Amino acid sequence: MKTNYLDEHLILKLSQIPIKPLSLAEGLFKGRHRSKRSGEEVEFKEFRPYIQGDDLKKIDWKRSARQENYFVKEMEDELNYKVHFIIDQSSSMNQASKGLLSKIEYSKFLVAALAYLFVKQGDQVQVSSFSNRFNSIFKLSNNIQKMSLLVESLNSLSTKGSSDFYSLIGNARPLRSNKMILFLLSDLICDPNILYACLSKLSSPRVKIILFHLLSPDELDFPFKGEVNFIDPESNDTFSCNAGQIRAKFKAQWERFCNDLRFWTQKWDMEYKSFNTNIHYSENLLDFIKSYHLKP
Amino acid sequence: MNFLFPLLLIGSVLALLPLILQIFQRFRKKKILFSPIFLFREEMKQANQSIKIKNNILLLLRVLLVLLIVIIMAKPMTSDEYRFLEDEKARENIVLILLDNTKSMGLVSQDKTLFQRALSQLKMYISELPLQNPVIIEELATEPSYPIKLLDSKAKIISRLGFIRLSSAKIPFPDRLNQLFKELEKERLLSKALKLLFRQMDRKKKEWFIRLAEMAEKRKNSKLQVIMGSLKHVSNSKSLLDTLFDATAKDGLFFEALELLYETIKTGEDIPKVLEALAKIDSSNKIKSILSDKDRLLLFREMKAKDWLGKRFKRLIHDMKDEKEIKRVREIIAHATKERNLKEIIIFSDFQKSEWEKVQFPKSIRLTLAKSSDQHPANLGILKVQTDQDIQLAHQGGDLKVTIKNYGLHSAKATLSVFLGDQLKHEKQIALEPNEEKTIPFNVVSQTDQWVFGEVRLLDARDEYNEDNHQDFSLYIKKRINILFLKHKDFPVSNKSIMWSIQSAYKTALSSIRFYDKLGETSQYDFIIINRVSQLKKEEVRLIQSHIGRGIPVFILLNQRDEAYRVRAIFDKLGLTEGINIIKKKSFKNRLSMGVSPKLNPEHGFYKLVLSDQRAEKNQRSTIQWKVVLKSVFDVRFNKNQYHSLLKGGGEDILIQSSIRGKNIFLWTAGINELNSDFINNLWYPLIINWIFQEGLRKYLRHQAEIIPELRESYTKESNLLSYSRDELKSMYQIAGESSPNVPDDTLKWLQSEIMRHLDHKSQSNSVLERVFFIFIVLLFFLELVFSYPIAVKGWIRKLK
Repeated sequence: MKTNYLDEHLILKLSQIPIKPLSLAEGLFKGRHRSKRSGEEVEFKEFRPYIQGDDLKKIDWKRSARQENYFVKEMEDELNYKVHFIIDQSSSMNQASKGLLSKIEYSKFLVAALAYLFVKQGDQVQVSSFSNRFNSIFKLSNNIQKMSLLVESLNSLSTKGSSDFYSLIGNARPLRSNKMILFLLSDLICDPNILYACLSKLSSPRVKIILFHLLSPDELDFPFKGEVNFIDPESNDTFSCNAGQIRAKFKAQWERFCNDLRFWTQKWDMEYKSFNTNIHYSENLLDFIKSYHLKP
Repeated sequence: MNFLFPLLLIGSVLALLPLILQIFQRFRKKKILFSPIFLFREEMKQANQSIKIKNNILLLLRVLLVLLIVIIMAKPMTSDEYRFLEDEKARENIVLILLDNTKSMGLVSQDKTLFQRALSQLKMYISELPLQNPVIIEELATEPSYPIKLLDSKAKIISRLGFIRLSSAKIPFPDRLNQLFKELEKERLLSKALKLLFRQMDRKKKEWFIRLAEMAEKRKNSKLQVIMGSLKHVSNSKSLLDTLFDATAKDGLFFEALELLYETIKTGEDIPKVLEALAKIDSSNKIKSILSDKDRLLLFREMKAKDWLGKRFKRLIHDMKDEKEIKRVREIIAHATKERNLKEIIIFSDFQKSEWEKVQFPKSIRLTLAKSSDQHPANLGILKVQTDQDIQLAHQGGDLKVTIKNYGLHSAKATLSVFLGDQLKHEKQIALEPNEEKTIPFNVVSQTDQWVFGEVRLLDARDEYNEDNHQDFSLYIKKRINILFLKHKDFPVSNKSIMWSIQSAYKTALSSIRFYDKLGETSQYDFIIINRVSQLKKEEVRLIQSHIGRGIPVFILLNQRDEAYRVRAIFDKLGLTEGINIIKKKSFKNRLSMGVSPKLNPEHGFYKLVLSDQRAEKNQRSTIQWKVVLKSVFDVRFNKNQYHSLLKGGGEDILIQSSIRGKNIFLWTAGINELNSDFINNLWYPLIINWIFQEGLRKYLRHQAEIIPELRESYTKESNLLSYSRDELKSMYQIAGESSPNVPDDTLKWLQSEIMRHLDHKSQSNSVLERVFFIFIVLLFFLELVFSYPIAVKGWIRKLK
């Protein structure tokens, strides 16, 4: 059964709040946002002396004739954003608490809503997923007509394999050359060492990385009791133990993990936002957008 | 390792239980998909491993626990002293060979007689038997010898076969075989019981048992051993024991008495009682002579069996230090406690299959019918004896007719004999061709007061006797009968007419009748008739009671004038209320009606008269058609219609016969209202009495004579039986009826119960092995606790804190 991940009510709410990222992004098409990058078309910014290697086209011959030196005319361009959503597709994303959406479903709703908003503002949106492999599921587009295509491709997205952050870096790097906003939706279930190494490599001044950490209430509360067989969905390893016995241990460990994440993301200038699937995605998203928008 | 109850080892299957539980638990464990375990995967792995190890240890512990408990319950035996019991030799599988050496086996077929063929086949079979396999050879036509002889070597068997010849002796078949099997079964049970008993005994008792076996070995008597053993339990008088030994060896009755003693003894205190009881029936006065010594009797009374036994054992152990002696005694005991199982029965005979079906073969044995005998069916004639029912009515000669028919395929000879008392009065021999039928009249002398009984035997052409061809006709007629009539004044019939009715019923001049108003000394009478039972006095009721106890027939005539509640009370006292239904009819005031209808025997061809009461419409009870055999009524030429009309005019009820309680109490009721009528006075009551003698008396006599032949004499003679109490009489019967030179079944039961009694744990815990096992079990329990509930224990401690 296909799900329409575009929640109309949510979009209605969200559309009243424009998204303004702090750092400007580069774009191919005109957009609402001002770009620092000088381009060919739009408004004049400044003249600067010619440096070897500059495009000859850019030399303002009138000024150069007047000043008897080569000047290059720099233009200020109004650009649109390139927004890249990367969804973690690994099996662990399939985890769902009772009666709640699974992490992947949750992230699909989030992506759909955000993508719609960005496209509506004229930004270019691209959606990819990764687990063992990196897949592009929606090609870069700012066409609002193609939103249905996005929903469809989201529908076909299912969990498999384990999350390989190396594949993420390998595939996300080419995109790094351009300025963009990168949404990474994941439960970040990975060896912390690998995770941090990858995240550090991913961070770049040209890319605004927004990390959506999806958490299920089970992970936060650890409500299990008695003898339990824990099964790792990614490796299928089984561990039987007394849940009550390891509860405190787990909680401490989990808190440390989350704190570490927060610390490192802050250090690498990433936006970190944890999403508890217990809370409805619309609430969570509104909360995020508001806080993001209000940020200086 | 050997076990006392190896069957219990099946319980070790229970050891699978913990395993199953563990597997079940594994399935029952919650399975949860949970990704964040990567955070402490290593730690979990370690924890997992430790849990696995712990679980495995727990499993092992539990399995061990169950196994150990099972082993302990099976009672392991490692000690050398029991080893011989586990030896294969301790179980003897007996082969029983039944060899028919009757004359019919001499029939020649295929150049050889059946007997020769049976012998050759038998030899072949014996050659296949393992060496020293015990064999019993029973010749059917030879008197059995008890105890049974076991042949345990082939040479012995072969030599025994050489002595077997065809015999023309009688075969009380199949009783002969049933007795044999019973004997073997007893032997087996006894040997098994002994074996078990021996196993259950503690060390002291074992020593005692060994000693006993030694003594038995010396005296060559295994049953004596058992009896002596029981006596030794309760007696410490050596001289008494020796006297008993001598008496046992000589006097058969005393031997039986000892058996009874053995059976009865449960505690030492019983002994004097039993001995006293035995002394009364001791023909050779041996017990009396023993008991006359008052000191010995006192000794019996005062001794405490158990204390004595303990002391005795101590001394025995003290005495037996020589290992060689102990070893030898052990060999003896091993022999004594061999379990003898009847494994196989091989039959060589030409009897019919139907004959063999009558034999109660022991269960769980292999039955082999040798082929040579199977092919030749029995061919003996079958006899049918028809006796004229009138013999008891006739008082002249020629009153007995016997019809004989030969149903067999061969010609036969019949021997007919008639006895008066114990004397043979007549004997006739008649030859009968196959299917021939002959009627032979006999003249029975009626002028005698002795018992008369007859016997007919049929022999086939080969003079071979067959149980099937023998038939006694039991005509036990006593020619003089003393009758007591407790006649109250209101009895409407004159003495003369009663006499007449008895005469006409019994047709003998030798009956004597006396009429009394009061019951007094009655022991010389054979029958008592009581009219107006409700007027009996206490003393009289007691006397009647004693008559019932003795088995003397008592006829009670009831009529409507007897008050129901009074009759009921007397019946209660007599112990007759059970099984009898006295209904006080509302519409009939005090009239009694006995609700038992007589059984009709269609073979006798009696007339039946169905009478229904005039008020049939109103009274449900009387709508039942009462069937009464009224043969005697018609015998005196009474017209059916006439009788009916008389009833119409007079009463409603008719007489009902009912016999209850051991068949010697007969109740009669005659509910005729019109007491003054001539019919009642002159005919009706005499008819009843007539009938009593016609049917009741005859039946009673026959019954008595058939069931307890021993009683015949005591009834005819003046006996002092009344001086004995009922219990004494009972025990006498037992001795008379059940005495045999073998250990009775009850003894075996007692032995078995003894075994159960010996199963007390105190004597069992001697085994070091068991103690070790017990310690192990406790240890395992502790470990189980430690391993399985650390969390729970921690929780408790925390709570306590």
